[in-house]
Amino acid sequence: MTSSLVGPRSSLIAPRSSLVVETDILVIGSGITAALLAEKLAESTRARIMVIEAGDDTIPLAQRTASRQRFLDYGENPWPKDHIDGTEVAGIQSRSMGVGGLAMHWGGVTPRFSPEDFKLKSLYGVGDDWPLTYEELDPFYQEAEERMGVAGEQGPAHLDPRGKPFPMPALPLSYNLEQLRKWTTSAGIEMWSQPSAKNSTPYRGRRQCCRSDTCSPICPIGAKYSPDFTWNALRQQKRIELVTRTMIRRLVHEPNGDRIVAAIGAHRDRPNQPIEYRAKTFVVAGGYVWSPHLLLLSTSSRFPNGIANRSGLVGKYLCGHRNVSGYVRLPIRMYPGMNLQHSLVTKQFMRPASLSRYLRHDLRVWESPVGSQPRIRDDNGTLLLGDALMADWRARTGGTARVRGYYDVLPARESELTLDPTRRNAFGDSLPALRFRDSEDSRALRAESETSIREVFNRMARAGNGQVMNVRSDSFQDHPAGGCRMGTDRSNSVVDSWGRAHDHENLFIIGAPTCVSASCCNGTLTFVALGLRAGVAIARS
Amino acid sequence: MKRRAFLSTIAATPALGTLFIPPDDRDLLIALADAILPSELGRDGVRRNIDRFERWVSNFRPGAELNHGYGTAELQYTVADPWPRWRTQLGALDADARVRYRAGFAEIRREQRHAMISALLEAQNVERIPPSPIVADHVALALLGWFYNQPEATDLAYRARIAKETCRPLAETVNQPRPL
Repeated sequence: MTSSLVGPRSSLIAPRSSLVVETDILVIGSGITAALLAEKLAESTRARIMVIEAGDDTIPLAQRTASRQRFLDYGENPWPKDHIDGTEVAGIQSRSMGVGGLAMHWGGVTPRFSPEDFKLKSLYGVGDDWPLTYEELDPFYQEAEERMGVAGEQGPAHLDPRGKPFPMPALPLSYNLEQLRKWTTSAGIEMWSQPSAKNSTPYRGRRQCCRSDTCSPICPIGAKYSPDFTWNALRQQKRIELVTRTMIRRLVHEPNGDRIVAAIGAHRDRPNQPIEYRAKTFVVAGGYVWSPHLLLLSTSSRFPNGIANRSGLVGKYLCGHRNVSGYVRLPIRMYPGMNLQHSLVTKQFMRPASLSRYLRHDLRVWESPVGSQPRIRDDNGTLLLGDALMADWRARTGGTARVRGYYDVLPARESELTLDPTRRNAFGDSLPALRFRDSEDSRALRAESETSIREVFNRMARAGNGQVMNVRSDSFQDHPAGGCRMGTDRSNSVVDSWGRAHDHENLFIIGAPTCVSASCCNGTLTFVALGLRAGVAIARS
Repeated sequence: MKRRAFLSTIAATPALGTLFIPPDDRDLLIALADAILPSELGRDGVRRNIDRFERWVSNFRPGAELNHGYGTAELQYTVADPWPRWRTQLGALDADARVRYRAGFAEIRREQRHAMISALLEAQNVERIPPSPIVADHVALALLGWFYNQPEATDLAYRARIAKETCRPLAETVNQPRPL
């Protein structure tokens, strides 16, 4: 089922004669949320689905072993052409712009948010409640886990609620992680295997993980889920059309109404030849940067501040979480390198029963070589070479745990993406500018949050007769989201809980931008679950 | 693919895997490695590592885009080919050995080579093993940076078959690594 090329003709919308393409559902962006949404729509509807990606296609699986080796040997980018020059944005977390998006690079870590995340205002009097509950999202979390293939261990039910078991058994804990789990248990912290989109068994035609340990940036065998697998399957089945190297620059509404009628873009090789994509339903899936950016660029006399922006909140409430990390040197014999990218996790600190002041954080523990690495000078400053260097290394081989806690940072309204009047892309469109701002609550709690996490590290170290090293608090906000937040109040949000824009009945914004807050753990699974939930409404529409 | 297009593709493809270090320089590299890597590698281990290092040198691509993974928007590129500089440094070591010991660097005793490299690195106030040969100021540091990043070095240090960053059965991860 293919979309129809109507051909060059006079356009109602574009400034001159355009190539006009018609389809049923137009998806803008091809990242992980878009991929799994498209898969769901391809299964649940007969609609023609067209996906527009500004970047290039990615390298095939067969090339990834060689690409990974060059990354290991020389530090080269294992994903050639995964970004577009001229789209540099200050404050952005990644340059990825290509088929599969940032989830070509990701580490495959897939925790769920906790029930508390969805009702922070009601429970703790801070931030805002989401317009849906964890229980409502649970089936879509499950669907996301099943579609991408998540290997996980059921944590204690009171900490880790879920409706159904994980689709795959957990990645086994390495010998090192098993030693570390005994240690954390002795510190009174219950930890388990981090859920991950990595195959503990062969899954949907992809191989079992073999601990290559370069999950981020590249899995050489496809044991880690990445969106290209979904796109390849959908293209092979001819269920979608994926158009690459094409930048959508504007969304256009009908002349006297709010329905979106077209997306105007151009192929990057033919920037002066506009293409008008007409569809019944439009899905903006460009992530937390490029989704609000496109909406802000799409101004008209009816929407002078941009499409979907009657609330003035497009680009506002960018959210994320900061972290405190460190290392704990322990009197435990470990062997760094068994599976460095896998970790233990707990939700013990994400689900506090009651709080005098708001503080929630996650906690993860990894094996680490830090403190046990070869060095060229000993503690006395003596130069070491040959056997002396190896002997010094051997004497210091021991056990180190890497520890990290992400803590919840609630966004201010002014935590925002705006159009930068000073910087433009190759099409002459303003580039986005990002500025993260904590809410007043989070600003006031920052020092205490970071001190509390440091104290957890100290307590853990004491329980294992260990020593805390190199503790640092990062100032950037990780796993960024927001910019088109969801809500029930049209004046205080951009989309409803299904991702439908309040201002446009046939426009959906999916994934990261719709988050109200970013919890204190990796967000990708939640972005996808929200996208799959939006898929129910999109299919109905 | 037409024959002409095929031939032009072949011509444009870098000859990866081609080894180009001349024998004299290779001998100097072996002598250097023998002086600064652990002696338990033995003659075969040193040669095996020099073979791999030579392959690393031969396959280096200047100006290649570096990984710009999560957390950075900045693009960086590999530096100019370091081999000409390293080759000059090997030549300087050889010349210095001839002045000091009246024999080439590859011909003097291990202790003498070790002493020369120690003095050189002391003079440069070297503080750490470079995380990659690419950022090494001297060929001796490049060799150290290269070797100590190899899975073989970690296995030697721990005297266990960890085999980091290699494809290994998932089920075996629960076991303590076997002794070497």
